[in-house]
Amino acid sequence: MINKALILFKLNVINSLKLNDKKRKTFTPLFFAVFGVILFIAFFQYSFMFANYLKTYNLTKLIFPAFSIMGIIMMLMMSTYKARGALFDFKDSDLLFSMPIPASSILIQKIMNMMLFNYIICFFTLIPTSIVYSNLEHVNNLYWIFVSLIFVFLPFIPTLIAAIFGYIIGYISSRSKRKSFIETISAFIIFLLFLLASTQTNMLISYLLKNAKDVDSLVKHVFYPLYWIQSALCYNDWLSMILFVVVNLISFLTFVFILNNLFANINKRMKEQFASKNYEMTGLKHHNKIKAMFNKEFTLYSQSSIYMLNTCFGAISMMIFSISSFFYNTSMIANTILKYTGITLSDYQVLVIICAIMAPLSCTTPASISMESKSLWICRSMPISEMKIFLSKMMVDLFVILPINILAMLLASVTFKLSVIETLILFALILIIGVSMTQFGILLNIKYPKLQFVSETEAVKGSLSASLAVYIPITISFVLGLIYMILESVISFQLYLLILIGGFTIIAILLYVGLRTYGIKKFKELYC
Amino acid sequence: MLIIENFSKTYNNGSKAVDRLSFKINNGELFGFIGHNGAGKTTTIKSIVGILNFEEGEILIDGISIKKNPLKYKQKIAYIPDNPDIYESLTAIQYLNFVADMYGVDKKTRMDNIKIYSNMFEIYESLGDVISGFSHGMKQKIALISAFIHEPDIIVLDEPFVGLDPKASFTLKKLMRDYCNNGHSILFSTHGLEVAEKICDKIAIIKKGRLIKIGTIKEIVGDKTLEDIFMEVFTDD
Repeated sequence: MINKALILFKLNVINSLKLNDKKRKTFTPLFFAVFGVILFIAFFQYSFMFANYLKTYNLTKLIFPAFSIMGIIMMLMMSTYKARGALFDFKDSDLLFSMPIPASSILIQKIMNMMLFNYIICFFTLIPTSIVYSNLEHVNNLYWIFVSLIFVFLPFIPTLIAAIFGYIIGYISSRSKRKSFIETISAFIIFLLFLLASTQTNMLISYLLKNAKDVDSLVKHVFYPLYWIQSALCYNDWLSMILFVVVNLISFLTFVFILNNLFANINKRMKEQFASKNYEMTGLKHHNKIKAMFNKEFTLYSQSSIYMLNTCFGAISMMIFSISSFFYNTSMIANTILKYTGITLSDYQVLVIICAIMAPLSCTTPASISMESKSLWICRSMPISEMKIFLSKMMVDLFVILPINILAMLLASVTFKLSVIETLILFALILIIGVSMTQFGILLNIKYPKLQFVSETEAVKGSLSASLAVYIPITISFVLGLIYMILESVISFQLYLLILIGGFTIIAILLYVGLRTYGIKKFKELYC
Repeated sequence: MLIIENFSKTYNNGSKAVDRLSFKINNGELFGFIGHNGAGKTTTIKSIVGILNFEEGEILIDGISIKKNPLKYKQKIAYIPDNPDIYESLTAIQYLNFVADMYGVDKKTRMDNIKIYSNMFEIYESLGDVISGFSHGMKQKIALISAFIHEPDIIVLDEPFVGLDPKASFTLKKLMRDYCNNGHSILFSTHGLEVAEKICDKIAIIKKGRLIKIGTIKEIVGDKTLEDIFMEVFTDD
């Protein structure tokens, strides 16, 4: 059973990472290694600053509940919508269930797929924190054994909860004609709940700092296993460690045992689709090519909860930021986080940074070609120019996501009492970044398409184009931020933004030219 | 009229899939394209419909080149692959309406044609359902309807009978014949030699990317069967 699960897992990794592709065989591990090191350093620095801050209150032990809950929320957010495609109603279910493979082997492989990502999150949240703590407080060898045990067992409960949510969404949606719509709405609700939970965490930490005496009882109140983690790591408490391992293990094994009995049936039932068979033609709307393509693109986008959720993340976060800025002093929160870097930001600068970070997270185009998948032949064989195909894909981004970003920024500009000039500059910046990003995304996707995938998650999240479309712009923003820090004494922030708008306009024009030439040429070579 | 002149296709790895292929399909002809697996049928078909680029040769419909004027060329042609993956999140009617929009079909023609062909394939009542819930055969029917609704000059079908039930298969054969009798042309690839022998006006046999035989059924088959000819050609090696 385990052997077959391992074979399936190995094949899945080879297939999804395309490790048989000679170019990727060297590039992919290198990319992940470089990216991993950067992320590790970032988490290390963040936990170091945070731990130092806590130490001033003599509350260094709080770093474990804080980073563990951060990791758990991240795991829940990532796994919940992944569970739908990874654990239930997966594309290769017919193939796998038709083979002499025990359902338990398939289940184990699917859980391993889900947990792999959770372990990566766990690695980046727990390990740097543990190293930082060991530098600030006295620890013994037992500490590292406990860290290893917590690393192994921490992803169990988030995976379990995510799988249950995934099942509930799948179960309800498979009984409706509007399957994808229900999936999208449910996933949004869960996503917002998690986001709400993460904001509550920040407030809770602030409360804990002010009410140090209640720390332990509050940690227990938030999520009891957090208290076990804290006690095990900070006080070498064996009992807490054993309780943490046993509770996680029993919950997880019970879940696997129950799911094992239902797994095949659940998946088979989810394959059954709603069919009304009562169509009566009353009239059909006539559209021009661009409108028809846009309608098609928007329907495909809105019907894919994975695609929509992943690309709405930035826009929704910006909206939440804007709305929450009515109630909280968000720039003060940002400055508190940056306290140890010696950087102080104005409200306006915080807004610009949020915009620069969130814009790449809300771009739909880096996966738009990949999402055509095996249906690519339809566009390729139709009498429509490549530029119109690109335009229809960019229109989803520009007419659906960009307005949300602009609205969010306008709301925030009211809260932060920005001047008309500042608001206009911000508006122009968002607009030009949006136009540049959408073209950049589509170019990247043409260059690095992922047309063959088992789950849509691979195309939306797992493709090289989707990753590069996030990391390249964020790196550029970071570099531009550094440049401003150097030039701060000789140039005003507004003038610097105007120069950037000019620069991005040139980039947008160059990207357009790139799409018309290189983009069209490469698109014609795409084949699935 | 579809004309293929000295068409060759070499893949990036250097393998030549099709080598100097030339033939033409006249208006009103039902043309069968036959060959063993990997002979170059699908490569040729995908190049004819503009999905694959090619370096050598020329492909024209009524004098319009796929290379020089691809949009005008594609307006005259319809294509259905052997395993048509269509947009699964759309309802069948949304998909058909989308195709009609892309080919600029007027409102009355699209409504009439969708009704006619969906009734013909007995799928009319399911047009409001989402495609992801359809069987392979139902998806195949929707894809086939989408090829006929804009009344193209030439329809190119790759293995069109795969997945269809016997009744739908019979309907399609009749539809193909009638469509060609009305002055349009159809090129289709098939492994069903009996079907090809029964309904085709002309047949081309392709082997290792080269045209081996081309002509009317009578010219190629003579006193034998198409299966005999096929076996003669492909057992030479």
